[in-house]
Amino acid sequence: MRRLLCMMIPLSVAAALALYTRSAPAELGPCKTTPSAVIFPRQSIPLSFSHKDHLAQKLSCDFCHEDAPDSTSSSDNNIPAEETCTTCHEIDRGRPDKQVAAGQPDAKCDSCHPGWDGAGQPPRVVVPPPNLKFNHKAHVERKIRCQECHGDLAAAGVDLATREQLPHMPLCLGCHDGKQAQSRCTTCHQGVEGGMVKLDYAEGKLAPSGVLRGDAHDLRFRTDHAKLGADEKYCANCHKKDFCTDCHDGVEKPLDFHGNDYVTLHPIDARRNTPDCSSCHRQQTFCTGCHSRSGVTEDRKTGDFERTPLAETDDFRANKLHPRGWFEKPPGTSGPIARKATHHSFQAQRNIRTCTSCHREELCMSCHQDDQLDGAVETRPIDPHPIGWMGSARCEALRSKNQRMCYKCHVGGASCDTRPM
Amino acid sequence: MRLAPPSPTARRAWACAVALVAALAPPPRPAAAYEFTVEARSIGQGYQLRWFRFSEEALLNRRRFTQTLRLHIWDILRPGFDPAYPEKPRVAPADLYFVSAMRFQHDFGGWTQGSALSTPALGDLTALDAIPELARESMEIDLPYAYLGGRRIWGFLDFELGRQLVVDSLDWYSFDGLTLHARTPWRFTVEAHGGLRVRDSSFVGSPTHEPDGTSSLRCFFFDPAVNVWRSYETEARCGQLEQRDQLMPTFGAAIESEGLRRVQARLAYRRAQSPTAGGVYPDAAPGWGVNEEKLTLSARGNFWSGGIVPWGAARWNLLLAAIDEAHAGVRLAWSQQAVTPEIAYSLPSFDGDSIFNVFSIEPYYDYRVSYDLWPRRGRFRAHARAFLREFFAETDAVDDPTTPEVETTVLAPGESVDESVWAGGAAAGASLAWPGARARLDLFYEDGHGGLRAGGDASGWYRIARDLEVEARVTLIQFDEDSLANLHGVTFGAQGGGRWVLAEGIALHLLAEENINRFYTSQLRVIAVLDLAFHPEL
Repeated sequence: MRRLLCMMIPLSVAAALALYTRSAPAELGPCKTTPSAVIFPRQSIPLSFSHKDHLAQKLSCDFCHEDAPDSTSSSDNNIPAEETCTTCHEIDRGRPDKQVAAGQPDAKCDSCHPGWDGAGQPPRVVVPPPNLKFNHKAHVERKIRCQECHGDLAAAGVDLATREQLPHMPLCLGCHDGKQAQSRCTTCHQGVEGGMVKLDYAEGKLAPSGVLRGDAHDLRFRTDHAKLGADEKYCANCHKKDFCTDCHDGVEKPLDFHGNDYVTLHPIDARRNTPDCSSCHRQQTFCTGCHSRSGVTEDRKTGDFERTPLAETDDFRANKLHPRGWFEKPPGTSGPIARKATHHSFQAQRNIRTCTSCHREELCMSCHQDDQLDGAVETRPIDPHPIGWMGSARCEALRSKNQRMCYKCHVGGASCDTRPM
Repeated sequence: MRLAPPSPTARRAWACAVALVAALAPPPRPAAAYEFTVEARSIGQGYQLRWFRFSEEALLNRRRFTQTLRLHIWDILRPGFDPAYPEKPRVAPADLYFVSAMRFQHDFGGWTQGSALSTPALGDLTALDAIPELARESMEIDLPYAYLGGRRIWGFLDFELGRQLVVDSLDWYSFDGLTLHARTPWRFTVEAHGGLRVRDSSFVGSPTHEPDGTSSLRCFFFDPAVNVWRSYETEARCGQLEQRDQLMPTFGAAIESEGLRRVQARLAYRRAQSPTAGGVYPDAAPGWGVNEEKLTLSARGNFWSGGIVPWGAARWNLLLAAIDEAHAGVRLAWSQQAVTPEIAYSLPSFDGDSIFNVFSIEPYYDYRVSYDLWPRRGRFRAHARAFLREFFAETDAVDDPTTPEVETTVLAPGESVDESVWAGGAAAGASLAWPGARARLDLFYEDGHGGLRAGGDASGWYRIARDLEVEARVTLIQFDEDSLANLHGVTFGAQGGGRWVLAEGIALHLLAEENINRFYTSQLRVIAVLDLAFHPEL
C-alpha cells in the first residue's frame, strides 16, 4: 500500500498539471505556439489602433508602412512615424484635445495614445528588432503579398498588430524548401562560426518549439532525444560535435546527469537498464574495470578467485552479491542439474548486460566450455544455448560470420547441424 | 655618380633570373579569411569510492585530472575581405572546415596507482597489472574526433576525412576514414564510408569506442599441444587479448531522404571485421571474422505542423539474424501540451568476437507514455512520465537425451520462475524560470525488477551578477535493490557550486557534493573546472 501511495505522488502531480492546462487559453492550430520571445522579443505597444478599420478605408499596407517594400534588414524600423499619421490625422501637439468634424479622422492625442493628456512624452512604442535576418525587399520583388506572411488582418478583424502577426517558421518553410528558396537555417537565423545557428541572445537561449520536427527541447529532451538521433545533420545546424561527446563518451558528462550518490544507486538502474547505460558506457571496458577495482567482482586476478567460489559455499555467499541458488552445483560434482528460481541463467536471460558489466568471458567459459579451462573435463559442459538453437538462423548467422566466437567454447569447431562438441 | 648601363649579357642574365623567380614563385592568391575557435577545459575531481575487498570501511581515493583541447576551423577557403570591393560577396569554391578534439586524463589516486592485492598464487599486484581496463583512467591521451570536412563541393558533394564519431538513434561508433555524401536531384542523398574502426588499440584511440563484449584482460589461452584452453593462473599477469589489437576495417553505405517536409527516412548498412590474431585460436579458425554488421532503418514524419510526429527505427543485426534494437512512438501535440506514447525493444548484442552473443537470448520491451506542458512558452514548464519494462526468461529448458555429452539444466522441483518480470515507475517534474534564476523539482517512483527507487530532487540556479552564477541541488531517495540484501536505505545528497567568468573566454566552475546514507556518514566530492575559450575572427 505504501508503494502504491508513493507511485500516486508523481501521477497526482501529472493530473494536476493536466487540470491546470484546462484553464489555459487554447490556441488555434494543432501545435501553434506563441511566438518565441527569443526570435521576436517582447514588445510594448501602448497604442489604440485598428488595422481592421484602416484597411476598411481601402488603404494599402504600404500607404502607412511606406518603407517596408524597400527594407533589406530585419533591424529596419518599418512602423509608421507620426508624420505618416498626419497624412490623414490633423494632429496638433499644441491641442491635445483637438476636435474634428464628424466623419473626419480623429486628431485628439488620446485617440491613439490612450490615457495621455499631452503632457510630457507619450508612452513609447518598443518593438525590438527580431533576432532574424529578413529582407522585405527581396520578398516584395518576388510578388509575395503582405497578407501571405502577416495574414489578412481585415478578415481576421485585427486591431493592434502584435508579435502574433509575425510569420512563424512553418509558413516560411512553405517556400524555403531548398527548391523554391534556400532552406539552410542561417538563411533566416543569425549564424555563428561554422555556419551554425546562433543560440544565445540577451532574451534567452534559442531552442526548437517542436513545430518543425517534433523536437521541442522540453524538460525531458536532454535525456530523451534518441528519436532525433538519426538525423545528425539536423542537430549539427545548432550543435558542434563536442556537444555529443560531452555527454556520450562517459568522461565529461554533465555534473547533474546522474543524480547525487549515483555510485550507490546505480545498480538498480543497471538491472533494468534505464536509462540505457550503453548510450555512454561500454560494459567490458568501463563497468568491469571499476567493478574489479572496487572488489564488487571477484575474478581471477583481483581476488581469491579459484574454481571453488563458484560453489555454494558460505564464504561465497558472505562476500558476494548473488543469492543462494545462483549456481546449481559446484563444478566437479556429479548428478542431475536442477536450477532454483534464483539461478543466474534467468537473470542473464532477462538482461545479460547486468552480467557483462562485472564478468568477463572466461568466467562463463569456466562452466560452459566443451573442454573446460585447463582441460578440466570431469563434468559435462553446461549448455547455455537457447531452446531451438540447433539449426536456427541465428546459430548459422553467428557461425558463418565469426567462428572465432564459437572456438572459444568448441575447440573442435562448431556446427549448427549437430550439437557442438 | 652615374652608373654605366648594364651590358646586354647582364640584362639577359637579370631577365632570366627574374623569369626564373617568377616561374618558381607561387601564383598570387587571394588572402584567405577563416574563422577558428580554440577551447581548453581542465577538470579536477577528488572523491573516494568504497573498496569491498577486505573491509566495508575501506575507501580508495580518486584524484582525477582531465584536460581537453578543441580546435575548430571554418571557412578555410573563403577569400579575405577586399576593401576595394566591399560589396563583393566572399564566395569560397567549397566550404572547407576542420574540427578536432584531444583529451588527456590521469588519476593520481590510489584507485589506479595503488595495489590491487593478491592472490596466494600471484602475490601482490598493482591495480594496473590486475585490471588493464584502468589504464584509460591512469594515463590516456585520446583523439575523440579530428577530421577535415567539405560541403557543397561542385554543389552536391560533402565529405569528411579523418577520425569521425558517428551518432544515430540506435548506435554510436568511431572510425578513421572517409565519408562521402552526395545529393541527388531526387530528394534523397547517398552516403558511403570506409576506413578503420577506432578501438582501444588504435592510435590515440579510446576503449570507449571498442565494440563491447570482450575485455582487454585475457586470462586464458589456447594451448595447441594439448588442444585445450589454459588459464594464466600461475603467470604474473594476464595476457592482453591480442585479438583486440587487430585492425578492424569497416565500411558502409546509406540512403537518406532530403528536403521532404513531412517525412524523413534513412536506410543505413555498415560492417566491421578483423583478421584472426595468430596464436590465439586453434589453427582451424578462419582468417577473418565479422565484428559488427548492421542494417538500420529509421523514419520520422511531421504532420499537422508538429501536431502529429510519428517515428520509428529498427536495426537488423546480421550477426544475430535478428532485430536487436527498435523503437517507435508518436508525439501528439496540441496547444501547449503533448502526449508521447512510445515502445522500445532491445535484444542485447555484442562484438562478434564475444560469446555473450550466445547468452543473449531474450529481448526486453519498454512501454512509455510522457506528457509535456509548456504554457505559452513562458517561464513554467512541466512533464510527467510513466514506463513499464518487461523482461523475459526461458523457463522450460530440458535436458537433451540425444546428446548426453552436453548438459542442459532443468528447473528444480517445487521451484517456479516467472516467464516475464516487470519494472515500472512514474516521474513528474516542473521548472520555473525567471530572468537570472531558475528552480526545478522532480519526483519519481520506480519499482519492480531491479528494485525500488523513490524520491526526488530540487535544484536552483541564480545569477548573482553578470559574471557570477550559483547553483544548488538537494536529493532524497529511498532505495532497495531487489537482489542484494544489503543494498537498501535512504540517501540524502546536497550539491552546491558556482561559475565565475573571470574574463571573456575564461570561466571557473566549482562544485561540491556531499552524500549521506547508512553506508557512510560523509562522501565528499569536489570538482573544479577551468574553461578557456579563444574565438577570434581573422
